[in-house]
Amino acid sequence: MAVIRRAYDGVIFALVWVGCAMLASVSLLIVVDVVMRNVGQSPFAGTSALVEYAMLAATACGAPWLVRRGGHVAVDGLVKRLPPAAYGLMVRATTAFCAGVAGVLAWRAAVLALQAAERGQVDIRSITLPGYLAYALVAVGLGLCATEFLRLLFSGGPPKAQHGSAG
Amino acid sequence: MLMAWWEAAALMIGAIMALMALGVPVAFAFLGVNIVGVIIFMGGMAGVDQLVDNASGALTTFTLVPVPLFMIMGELFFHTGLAMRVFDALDKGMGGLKGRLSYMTVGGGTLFATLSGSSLANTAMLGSLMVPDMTKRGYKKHMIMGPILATGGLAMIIPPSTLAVLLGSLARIDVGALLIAGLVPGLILACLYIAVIRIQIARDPDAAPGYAKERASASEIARALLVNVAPMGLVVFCVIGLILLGWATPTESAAFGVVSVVVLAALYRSLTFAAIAKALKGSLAVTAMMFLIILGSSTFSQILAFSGATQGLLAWATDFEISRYAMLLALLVILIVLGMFMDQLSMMMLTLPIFIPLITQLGFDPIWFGVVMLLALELSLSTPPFGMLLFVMMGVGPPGTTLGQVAAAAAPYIACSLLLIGLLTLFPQIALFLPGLAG
Repeated sequence: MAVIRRAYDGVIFALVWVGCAMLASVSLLIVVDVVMRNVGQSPFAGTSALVEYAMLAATACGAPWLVRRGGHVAVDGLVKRLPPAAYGLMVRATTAFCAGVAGVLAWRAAVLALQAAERGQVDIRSITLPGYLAYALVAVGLGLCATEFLRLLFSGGPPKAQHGSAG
Repeated sequence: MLMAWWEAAALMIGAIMALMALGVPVAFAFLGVNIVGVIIFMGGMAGVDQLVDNASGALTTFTLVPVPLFMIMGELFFHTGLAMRVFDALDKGMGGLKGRLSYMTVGGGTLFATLSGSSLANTAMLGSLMVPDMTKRGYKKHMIMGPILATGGLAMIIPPSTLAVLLGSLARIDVGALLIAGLVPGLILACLYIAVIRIQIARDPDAAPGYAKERASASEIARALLVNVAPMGLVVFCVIGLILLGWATPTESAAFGVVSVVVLAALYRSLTFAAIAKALKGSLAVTAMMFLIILGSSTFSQILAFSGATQGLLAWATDFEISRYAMLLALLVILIVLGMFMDQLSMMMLTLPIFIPLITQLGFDPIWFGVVMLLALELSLSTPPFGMLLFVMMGVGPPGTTLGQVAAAAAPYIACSLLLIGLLTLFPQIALFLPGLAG
């Protein structure tokens, strides 16, 4: 069991670095693309398609790790005012809710990925990519989010929500 | 029709607000409500499959790419120590001016805003840099926290702004035009902040004590500015200049912005593997958080439209016999009230499906409205009880700071944002002038 847990943790953290590498590659790919275009060389046709998919892939890589560290933005000002017992119950209920939502969508995304693979669907962008790829990324990302929520639910460690935003 | 438009609107919007209030992470609140919404309005499991299809399509788009790139830029800027160099150089140039550190906060923070896309990072950075020195020098709390809070939020308006990219891509407004439209209003806001500090010092000279500071020679100041500030012009050029000149799209300019920070950090010999890793990890965390919310809410506007809620709300709102400016005021009040309880991205997701068609119908320019909305969002960061920057400020503020004190310190700066919204309404060209130049 300990081996499986270590392997699973390794996957979650390895995905973080995969996501980071994707973001770094995106910067380089775009700059190389623009430079090549401006020096009269034909740029790599796949840049825009790969960059677009990298956005989804980086999100799928980072989302389970964010569940683990309570990094998904939530408005928790009201529930924090509840008595400790009620607060604990509320956290468990919302964690179970999130696990259910992520699990259902991961399941449907996996079904869609399999159907797309069976039918040989393709996504025609600047290059042609397999049609199952986007569904598979959603399935993996949300599937791991679901397992992370379940892990939090059964380990008793409530996720610390974060009140944050862009800008 | 399964239910009346107002029932559908109340169900969808009410359920999201209720789940958020219960502490469900925003992305999963949207996903959960969307599952229920598609099952009711879009045909059961086929609707759920459509939801997955939309979710995967929502993120595989080129217009969102500047978001992580602007984040990397800002994170690199802070982690490589370039930000400190800029601040030290500006500090030399200020001399012994009364209230110098408050002015420094606005000056340095505005410069940071042109180099970083994150108001969170901006506020945290200004707070940790300025608060200890200001406290030691005997500045009153409102002179410490007010400028930091206000200037931290400028990063949302002055390009590069991640929120402007998100707003542009979600509302289908030209992202490049929206980015550069924020430049002049952002600079005006910075000037208004300086005026506030000047007035506060005039009314209470003890609020910001003057003190003797060894004055750097003119050549020292010039050297510091030349070595540590002028090169940052490369970053500003890459991000704003390339878009203005029409040489690059916002995505391309963002990538050049990242590379320019890397090159500068390498030239200053401050580029380390640890700084790059921290910057990438920080950027991934914020990107995944924001993008999952977008993924979660991608079908929300479709369900609103499909259920008749969007059309119903639009017809209801335009039925009132009030001027379009009164309607604009109502929209701003909604944003400000939502901002007291909600984060900026959730607010955009909830309101844009209704606001953008309404604004277009009322004959307002969407780019202009984008800037006004960014100002309202910036303002909402500092409104109690849940304005996020209030909490950041409490974390980095002087010991014993209360939420009430932070909110009171922010009040004059909130008034500046409201004044600017008024000015923009009277003179829309303040925002539209630069995008017009860029064509």
